[in-house]
Amino acid sequence: MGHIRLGTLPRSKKWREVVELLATDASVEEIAEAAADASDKDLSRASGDPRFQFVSDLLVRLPLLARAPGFEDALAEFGIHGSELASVTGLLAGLDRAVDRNSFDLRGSSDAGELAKAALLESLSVQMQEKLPALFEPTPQEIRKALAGFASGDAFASLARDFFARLTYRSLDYYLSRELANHTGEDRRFSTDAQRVAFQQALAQHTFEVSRIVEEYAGGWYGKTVWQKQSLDRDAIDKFTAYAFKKMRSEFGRRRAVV
Amino acid sequence: MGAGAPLSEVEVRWLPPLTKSGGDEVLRLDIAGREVAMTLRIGQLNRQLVEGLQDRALDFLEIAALVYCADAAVSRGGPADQKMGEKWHRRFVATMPVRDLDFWQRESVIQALEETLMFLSGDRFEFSFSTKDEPDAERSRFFKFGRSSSWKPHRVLMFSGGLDSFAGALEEIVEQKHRVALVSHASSTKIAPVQKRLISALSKRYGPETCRHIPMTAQLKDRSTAERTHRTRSFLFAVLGSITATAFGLDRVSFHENGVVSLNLPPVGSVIGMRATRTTHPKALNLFTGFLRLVFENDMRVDNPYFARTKAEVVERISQLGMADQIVETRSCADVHNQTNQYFHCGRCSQCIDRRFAMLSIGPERFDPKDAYRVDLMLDARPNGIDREMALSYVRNAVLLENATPDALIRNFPVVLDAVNHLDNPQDTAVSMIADLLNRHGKAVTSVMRQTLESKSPGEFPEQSLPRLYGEMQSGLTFPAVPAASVEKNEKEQPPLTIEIDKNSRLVLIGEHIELQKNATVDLLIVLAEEWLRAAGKGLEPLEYPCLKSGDLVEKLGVETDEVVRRRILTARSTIAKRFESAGLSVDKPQELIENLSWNGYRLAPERVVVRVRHRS
Repeated sequence: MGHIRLGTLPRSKKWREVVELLATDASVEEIAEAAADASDKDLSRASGDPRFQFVSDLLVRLPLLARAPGFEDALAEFGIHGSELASVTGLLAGLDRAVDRNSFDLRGSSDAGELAKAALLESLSVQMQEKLPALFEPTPQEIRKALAGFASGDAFASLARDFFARLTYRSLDYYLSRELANHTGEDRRFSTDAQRVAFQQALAQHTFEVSRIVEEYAGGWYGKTVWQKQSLDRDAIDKFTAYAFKKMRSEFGRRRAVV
Repeated sequence: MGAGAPLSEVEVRWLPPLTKSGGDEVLRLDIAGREVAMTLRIGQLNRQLVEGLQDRALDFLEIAALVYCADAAVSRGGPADQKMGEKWHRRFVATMPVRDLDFWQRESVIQALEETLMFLSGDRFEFSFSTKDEPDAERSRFFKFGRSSSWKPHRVLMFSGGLDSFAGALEEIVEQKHRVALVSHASSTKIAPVQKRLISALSKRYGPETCRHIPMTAQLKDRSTAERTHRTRSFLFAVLGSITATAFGLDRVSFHENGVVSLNLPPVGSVIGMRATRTTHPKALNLFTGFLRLVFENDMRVDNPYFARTKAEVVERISQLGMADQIVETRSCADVHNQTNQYFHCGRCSQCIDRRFAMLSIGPERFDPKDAYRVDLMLDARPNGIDREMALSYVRNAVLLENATPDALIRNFPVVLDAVNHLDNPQDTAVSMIADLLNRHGKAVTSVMRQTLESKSPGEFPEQSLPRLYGEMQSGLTFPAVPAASVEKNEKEQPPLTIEIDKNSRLVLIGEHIELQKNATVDLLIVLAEEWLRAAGKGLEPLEYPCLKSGDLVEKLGVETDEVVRRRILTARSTIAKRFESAGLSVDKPQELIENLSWNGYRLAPERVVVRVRHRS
C-alpha cells in the first residue's frame, strides 16, 4: 500500500548533456533550453496523442460552449452533471472525469494525456478564480459566465498562454524531477533542498515569460479561426495545439540565443 | 507512440488448469504467446462456506487471478520511461471461460470491471467471455479448507501486517467488540509469520474467538514475474475479501489505511498516473463497491474507515488501545524480500519513511527501535538518487502541505479531484477535509524535522543524511508555480447598447448616434434583433439566447450560400466598428455586438445589447 515508483532520465546523448549542465552552474535558461531540446521528440509526439488532443480541444471549446445556449446539455455529453456547476471544484472534478472517460474510450491512458489534463485543471482553477468574486461562493451562473468570459480573442489568448506555460513547465518537470535529487548535497549544484525548490520556481517563472509567444499567436489564431473564417473544428484545434506547444519549446532556444 | 497510434495489445488467454483439487491448483495463462503459471491458494475457509458460493463468485476469483497474473507477467518498461512511458500504459485483451456467462457478458458488468481496473492500474483490460466446460469438482481448487466450525465474524478486514491494518483490527475488537476475519495476502514467506504473530497476539489478549486468519497466497511460478509494481493487487484482495464476506453472509469489507497514503499524492512531477498506487483511494473503493454490488446483487461495500486519519494518528490509536508493544511486530516496508531478522525495514522506501516519521512524532521510540531500520531516517547516508528523492520529497511536500489551502491543493495536485466525488460530502467540503488531513500530516512531519534540527545544525549531520541534504527548515514556503497569466479586467462593465429596429423602413439605430439604413447590414441586424426579442420575451438567461445557424440566415436573408452569410457578418462587423470609430465613441469592441459561436451560429451578444422596436408615432 502506498507504493511510489520514481523514475530515471533516459540515457540519450541529449539527456546526458542536460545532466552535465545540471552538474555545473549553468543558468536556468540554459538548462530549460537543453531539456526542451532533449524532450522535443517525445513532446512533438505528445501533440499527436488523441488524449492530449482531447484536453486541448476542451480548452478551446469549453468557453464557447459556456457562452452558447444549452451549456448544461453540452456538459452532459461529457458526462458532467449540471449540478457540478454549483462550484468550481465540482466543474473541475467533472472535467477530470470526462478526460478519464475519454482515455477509457480510447482504450488506454498516456503520460502525455495526464500531463495535459493536469495543466488544464490547474489553469482553469487559477484563471476562474481570477474572474470570480473573492468574498462569496460563486453561483452556477457566475461560474458559467466566468468560463464564457474566455470566449473572446484577448481572454482566450491569456487562457491559452496560461495553459501552455503550465503544460510546458509540467512537461519539463516530468523529466527534470527524475534527476534533481542527484544534484542535491555538499559540493553539488543545490547544497540544500531549498535551493532545488528555488531552481524549480525559477524554471516556472522562465517558462511563464517564454509563454508570451503563445499569447500573441493564440490571440491571432482565435480571431482568424473563430471570428473571421468561422472555421473552428477539431483539425484546426489540433493544429493550433501542436504549433503552440512547439513554439513554446523552440522559444527557449531563441531567447537564450538573444540573451 | 505516434499520432493516434493505439497502445500495443497483449493477448491473454485462459488455459485449462492442471487439475488437482484441494488448494494446490496451478492456473495457466497464455500471455502474448508465452505460458505463465500461477498458484492461488486461500486457506481456512471451511468446506461448507465454499460450497455455498455462487458460480459467479468463483468466476470472479478466476478473473482476479488472471488480472493479477497478466499485471505481473508483462513489463512496464523500466524506470527510464522511454517515449513518455509508452510501455507503462498497457492494454490487455483477455479471453476466458466462465460459469455464469449470461452475467459476465452484460455490457454494464464488463464496463464496470474494465473501468475499475483502469483506475487502479492505468491499464486497459478488455474482456471477452465464453462458457466454461469443466466439471463441478474443480470448484474447490483454490481452497485449503480449515476445520469445520460455526465461527462467524462480525467484520471482514484486509490485514497486511502493517501498522494501519493492525490498528483497524484492534479497534474493531476492542471498541466495537467485534469478531473479525482477517484476510491476508503473503507476498513472500517473510511476511506470513509476521501476520500470524500479530493475529496470535490479538487472540491471546482478547480471546481466540475474536479473530481468525484467512491467508491467501498468489504467486507466479518459474520466474515469470516481469513486473513488480503489482498495481492490480488490491483488486485481487478486494475480491478475496468480498468472497470471504459473502461466504460468511456479510456485505462489507474494510481496508484500513491512513488517508495520506490512500490519496498517495505524487511527490514529484515524474510520478504520473499509477506510478503512485491507488490501492485504497476513495474512488477505487467506490468503483469496487459498485462492481461488487453487480456481482453479488446485494449491498456489498468496500470501505476505508481510516481515510480521515494521518499515520501518526493511527499509531496513536494503537497506543491508546494498549497494544503499543506490538508495533515492533508490524511491518510497513515495501522491500519485503530483503528483510532480515535484524533489519525489518529498509528505511529507504516511502512506507518506511512514512512509518518512521509517524513513530517519531508520536513516540515512544522504544516501540519502534531504530536498529530495525537498515537506513536510519536521520543519520544514515542516502547516496542513491532515487532514495534521496524519496526522502527529500517526503519532507519537502510535508512542509508545503502544512499550510496548503484547498485551492493550492487543487492547483498543485489536480489528482485530488479524483477523490472529491467519493467522500460522501459536497466537493468543496471534501477538498477542505483533504486539505485539513494533509495540514495535520504536514505538521506532524515538520515537527519531527524541527525537533531534529534543534539538536544540531544540518551541517553537523553525517554527509548525505536527510537533515544535511534538506538543510534548514524553511517557513512560508509555497509550491513552485507558474505565475497566473492575467486578463486585463474591464475597468467598468459597459452598460448595454440600445438597438432600435424599424423593419418597415429598413432602419437600425445603434445607441444614439449610429444610424444604418437600407442595406445588407441592416437586414442582417434586424433578423438577429428579432431573434433577440423572441428570447427576451421568453425570459431566458442571456447566455441561453439561441443562435441562428448559417442555414437559417441563408433562408431569412434570401441569399444563396453560407459563404455569403459569412461575408455579410464580416461586413456588418466592419461597418459597425468604423461607424463607432468615426463617431468618436468609446465602446469596447463594437464589432463583437454580433457574436458567432462555433457549432451554434450567430446572435447579438445578449448582455451587450437591448433591442427595441421603433414604433411610428
